[in-house]
Amino acid sequence: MDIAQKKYWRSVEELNASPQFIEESSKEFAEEIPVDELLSENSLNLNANRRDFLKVFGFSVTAATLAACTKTPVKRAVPFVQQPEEMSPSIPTWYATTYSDGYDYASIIVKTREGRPIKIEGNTFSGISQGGVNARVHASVLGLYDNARLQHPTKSGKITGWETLDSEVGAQLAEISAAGGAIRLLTGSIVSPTTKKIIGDFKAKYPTASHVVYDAISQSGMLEANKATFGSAVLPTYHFDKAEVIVGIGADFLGNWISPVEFTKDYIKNRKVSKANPTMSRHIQLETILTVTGSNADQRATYQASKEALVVTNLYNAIAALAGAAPVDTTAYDVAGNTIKSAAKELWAARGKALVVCGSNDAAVQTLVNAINQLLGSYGTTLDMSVPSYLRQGIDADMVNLVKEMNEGKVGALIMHGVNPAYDYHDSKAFLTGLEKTKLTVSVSQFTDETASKSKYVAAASHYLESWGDAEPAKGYYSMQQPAISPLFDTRSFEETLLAWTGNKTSVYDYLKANWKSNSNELDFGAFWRKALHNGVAENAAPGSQPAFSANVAAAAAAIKIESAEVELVTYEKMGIGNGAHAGNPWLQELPDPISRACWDNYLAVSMKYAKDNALSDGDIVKVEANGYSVEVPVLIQPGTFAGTVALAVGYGRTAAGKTGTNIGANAYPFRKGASVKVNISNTGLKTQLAQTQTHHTIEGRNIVKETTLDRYKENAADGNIRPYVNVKQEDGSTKKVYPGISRNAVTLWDRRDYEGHHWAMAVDLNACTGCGACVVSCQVENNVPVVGKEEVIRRREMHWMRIDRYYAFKTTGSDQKITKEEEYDNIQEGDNVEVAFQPVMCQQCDNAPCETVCPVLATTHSDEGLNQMTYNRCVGTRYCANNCPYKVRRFNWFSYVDNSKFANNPAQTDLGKMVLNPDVTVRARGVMEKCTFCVQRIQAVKLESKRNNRRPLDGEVQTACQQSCPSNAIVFGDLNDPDSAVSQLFLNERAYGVIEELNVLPSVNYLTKVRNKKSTVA
Amino acid sequence: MYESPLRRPLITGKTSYAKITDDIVTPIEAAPTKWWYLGFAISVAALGLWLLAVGYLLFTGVGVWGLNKTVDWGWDITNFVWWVGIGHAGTLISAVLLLFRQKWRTAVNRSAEAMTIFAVICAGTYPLLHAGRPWVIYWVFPLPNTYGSLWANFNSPLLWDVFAISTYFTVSLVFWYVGLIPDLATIRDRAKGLRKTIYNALSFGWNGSAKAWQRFETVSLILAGLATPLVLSVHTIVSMDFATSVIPGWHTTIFPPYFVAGAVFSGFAMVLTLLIIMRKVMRLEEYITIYHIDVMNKIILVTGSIVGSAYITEFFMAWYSAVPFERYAFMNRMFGPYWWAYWAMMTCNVITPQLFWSQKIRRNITAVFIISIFVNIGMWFERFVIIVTSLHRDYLPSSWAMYSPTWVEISMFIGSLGLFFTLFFLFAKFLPVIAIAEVKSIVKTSAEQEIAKTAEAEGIDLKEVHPQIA
Repeated sequence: MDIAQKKYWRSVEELNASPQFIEESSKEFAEEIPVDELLSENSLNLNANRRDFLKVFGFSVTAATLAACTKTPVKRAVPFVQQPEEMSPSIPTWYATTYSDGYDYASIIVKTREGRPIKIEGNTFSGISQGGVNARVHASVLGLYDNARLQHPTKSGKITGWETLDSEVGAQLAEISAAGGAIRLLTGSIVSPTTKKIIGDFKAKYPTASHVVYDAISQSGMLEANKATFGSAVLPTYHFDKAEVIVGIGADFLGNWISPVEFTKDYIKNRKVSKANPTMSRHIQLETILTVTGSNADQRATYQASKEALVVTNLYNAIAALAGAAPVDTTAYDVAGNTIKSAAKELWAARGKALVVCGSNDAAVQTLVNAINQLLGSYGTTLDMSVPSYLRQGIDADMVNLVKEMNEGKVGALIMHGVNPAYDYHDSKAFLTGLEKTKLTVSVSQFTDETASKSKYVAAASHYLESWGDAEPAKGYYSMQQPAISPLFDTRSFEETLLAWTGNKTSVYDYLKANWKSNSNELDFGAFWRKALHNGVAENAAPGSQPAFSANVAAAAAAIKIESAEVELVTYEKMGIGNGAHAGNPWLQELPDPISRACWDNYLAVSMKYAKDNALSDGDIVKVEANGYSVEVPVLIQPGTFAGTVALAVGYGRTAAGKTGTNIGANAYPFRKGASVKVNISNTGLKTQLAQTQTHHTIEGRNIVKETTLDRYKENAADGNIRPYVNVKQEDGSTKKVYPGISRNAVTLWDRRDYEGHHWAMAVDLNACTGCGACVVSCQVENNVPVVGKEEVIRRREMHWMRIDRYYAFKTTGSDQKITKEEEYDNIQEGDNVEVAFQPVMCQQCDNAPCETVCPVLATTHSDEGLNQMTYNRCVGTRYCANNCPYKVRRFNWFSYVDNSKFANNPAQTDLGKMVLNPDVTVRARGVMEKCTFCVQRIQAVKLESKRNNRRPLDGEVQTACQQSCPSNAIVFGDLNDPDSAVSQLFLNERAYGVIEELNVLPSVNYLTKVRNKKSTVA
Repeated sequence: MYESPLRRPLITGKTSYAKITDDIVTPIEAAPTKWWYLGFAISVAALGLWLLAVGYLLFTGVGVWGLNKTVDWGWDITNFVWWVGIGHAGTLISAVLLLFRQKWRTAVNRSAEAMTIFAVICAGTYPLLHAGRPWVIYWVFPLPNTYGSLWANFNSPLLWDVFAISTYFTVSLVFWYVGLIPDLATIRDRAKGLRKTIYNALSFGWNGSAKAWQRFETVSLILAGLATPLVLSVHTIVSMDFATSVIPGWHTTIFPPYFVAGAVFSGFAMVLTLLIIMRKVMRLEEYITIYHIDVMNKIILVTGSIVGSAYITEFFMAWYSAVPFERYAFMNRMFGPYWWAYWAMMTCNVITPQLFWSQKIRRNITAVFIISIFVNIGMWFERFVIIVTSLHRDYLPSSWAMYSPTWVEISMFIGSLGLFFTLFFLFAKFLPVIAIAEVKSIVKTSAEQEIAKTAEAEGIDLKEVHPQIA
């Protein structure tokens, strides 16, 4: 081969192969190394002088020191090999998706930064959640980064692979099915049509399989009643916005009842008053314990829990009398002030625009409620059965049957998803023994919770932000669920797992799309699909005619049995923890209850009378015993509780809810269904301290929350809003009243501030705020506010940048005078005649800010846009600003919350939890002050965006986190320099005022007087 | 110089220049007594507790104290103001009384000034340690930096505080040390070996020449002139920390004079507490006589009455202003959850000093000692009442909270007393507790023997005018 002979040469010299080249090429170094010279006497003779030595020495020491100082930080950021088209660093990307866990539903948009979902906001396109999001959905983003999450599928508690799990479960299912053994699929209410289809496929593959829906807190009674009345076991959709008179009976519809965000959005539409439209709905709430809904009612009365059915029957009879219908046979009963009778009159007067809702879970009671609404002509106006809601589907009897079947050994396989009956089923013992008798137990769960830990196989489930899906919360109201991040761990969604077990190799996405395509008659499905995913919703609800009504009210009334006891126990859900599924979320644990302001615990809420009669005080630990189950919990004296009732929240007492949620409070679920309503309470003599963020309950007669009644408002829009003024002498000698809060800077010793660009301000409508607390969590997520834990809350050191103050007032009998002072509080006998006011308080961004003048190092200064800004890295931590803040909104970093091991609940303490932090907001160090910034990072983002487009920010373009999250649109933010902005208009509203504006601090937050639609007499 | 025999002798017993030197310098030269060792050991132990508490505080954060979102200052600033107040008597005695030519001050000024300096040192630890990030507290000084306009906030009373306290400390220290120089030279002249070397260095080569004395007198006068306004300014400015705020109970124009009077009041009480022990232990009854104690008690009576009137004025103003927040703040002081602090303050500060209207009580060492302790306690409570009860219930009832100290705060208070007494014991051992030179300057006029001589020459019966000493 010629090629082998081919020779490459490097230089002409090599080619020529001159002798010199041959000689040199044999040497290692091209040039001669002067060895001799180096070894000669001269060079060995070190004649460096002392100065040179010191120079070299000094240089080398310094260089070594400097080199040693710069420790190269280990960075784990890996750049994209190919940058995704839609993603640029520091620019957030938003995805529309859906939150639906069988308890809460919300159509949401997710903010992702550098691929990480960090914030959830409401999707305003949704006709159901209407852009509102509650605290739990806000906090759900942290569930993605929960260290307690299952990261792999497990078998008998040991990590296994999906292949093993699929083959073993598949084989056993086939075996059980072949042998005719029952396969049960136990889930919560599923609103996803695609998931239901997949379940259908599963049932088709395993003919012995059936689907059992179990809701820990069910609407079984109403579903059954509707089945009897209308022929279908569904819930109606409610239209609180169309109701002029609302009577709630034990239904906390602004709190946790069915779809509270939707109801709040609707309810509030008819609660906002203006001079042009001085009307609002009238809301009467009859209830046992003080709820958020009751706190917002115009009139409120309490009844004993066991008498709920009597309230309904008597209301029915009162309305039937007015309507000329036949009464039912019942015991006559009325609550304080004959409210049932007066409510009936008001409802009847507003028939067609009236609504009665009841929280009872008794089918007979709900049948009567249906009948009341039918008499009032509510169906088709305030209630719609033609567009049913699917948010609750569980029938209690089904679950009871299942547990029975399991205990009888009839169930071969139990596959569970989205349920935790080992914790929240009232008879969890029976469930667990049944579980032991079940051959194949599989949990599809994100956590090793109480139930999953007892299941043989746990198919680690993905977080909803990692999964595809869809939802139909109410007929025709479809919303899409798309992942915002790929699964962080080796997990699969429930649908994916079910598809695998049905032997379907299709991905969930393809299945979902195919399902939608098959049901769609869109000409351009591709465009429709893109739009649906982009908008997050695809709604085509069409209200039709109401189904025929037929109810046997007499039979329903006869079916009602009243068993009462002197002291009765009721269970309820809290705004934060809800049904307890998210008890491991520290944000929810630290969210104070809107009414009691307590967090990190559940407690026995007792009435003031009960406490007095039994010599109980806050924090006394009592033993609560009913039907053989007992817990020891602290007492909290809760005004507004019916005297013969005590209340305990469910959702606590989890035994397997991760590091954060385990063993907090006591489990109240076993109390939910028992043979007897009788409850024994005994004082253990022990005492503990409750973590309350507010311990002073009354307003001390101060003009902080201003309020009026609708009638007075109609006469004078400024009623109840007395504003401070100064008499200023005019040049002609006359005096003129000058209102510093209105004509800002009119009276001042200070240099006037000029706000040339923007002047940011906020208006809060006290009439709209329901106190739900969604804003508090939203703010916490947006601004990286640390979680401090129970002990620090007890020390009054919670870090929430915004809080919702709650004040009680008591109406004394026979007088219009209200008791607002704490010293008189002790003399109140009953204490259930309580009025509640909520007031969200964030930094008021005063124009004459007292905090700014006192900081010795200028760490808190005034921006030329009216913001009172905090420079964290300049703060030395004298805390003088916090002392001098009249609103007490400043929060101090008492400890290093990011690395002090005492605060392990703080998400910022773990590598995974850190992912949730908002990169636009500094994580504050120990020893510095912090406070609400009016979400300055959002203002800045909008300013940059509008500057790029060469325009001013539009009114409403900047939305603070609290404002955006508010389900009742109580918060308006904008620019006071723009006279047409909504906030400028609200500042001129007759109802607007600044809290303690007489100090002339010129707060940039104004509140609008609360208007209550009170009736002194009812015609 | 002629001194009327009707004046009270300021040095009792038979005295001479040599005796004075011996009386005051001997304890410095001798080995410490076992009482000194015991006292010093207790003080150092308390100081150790301080170090422990401070170490924990610095390591963990200010959260180890009992403060919260509503009460952001508690024992820290209470102790700060208390110590600054205590540091008030020294300069008043040495500067103001020097200018007023009050000769009785010579016996007490040295130890009162020492007390001032140590009290200000103790006070200074609190603003430093109360900061969330004490390692950057130097930012309160207007230091040049590369950030252009980044500067201290001259609107902030805390900044004025920094200047006021540091100026006061510097001037007091210089004044005290200048006064020490002739006495240090006296010790040097009697000493040998290493001791001599040290005292020689400390006495800055004092040679006792007429020129040296003349310059000494001039410097003393100038420093007294400089220090006098500081006596008023320090606590005026400390009071502005509160007075310039918007918090009801703080926002009061009466604070500057009221705080200065209170400071002098507490300063004299502390001087009395210390001197009553010291004159006994160090046998200085001839120099610190009953008369000295009597005079100081009169100052306590005057300032205590000013403070009492201020309390009543505050109440009147709260009522008269018709501001509901202000009214509530004062009612809350009396009958709120911290009522005990308020009534402790009223009892100790308003009622007990009124006992000094009686000369018998003024001259009863035991009674004076007990009352002086009461005043110290009362003045501590005054600061606690002003700071904590005003903060814990201010404008919005939703934020009202209670505050109680943790072991760290209590340890730091005990520890700061330890620091104070450690310094004081060292002072008592190594430096002359009475200004030797100054006392000697009044021997020829105010010593008992000289007064007796004059009386004899003028034919006055000393027994008749000064029955208690003759």
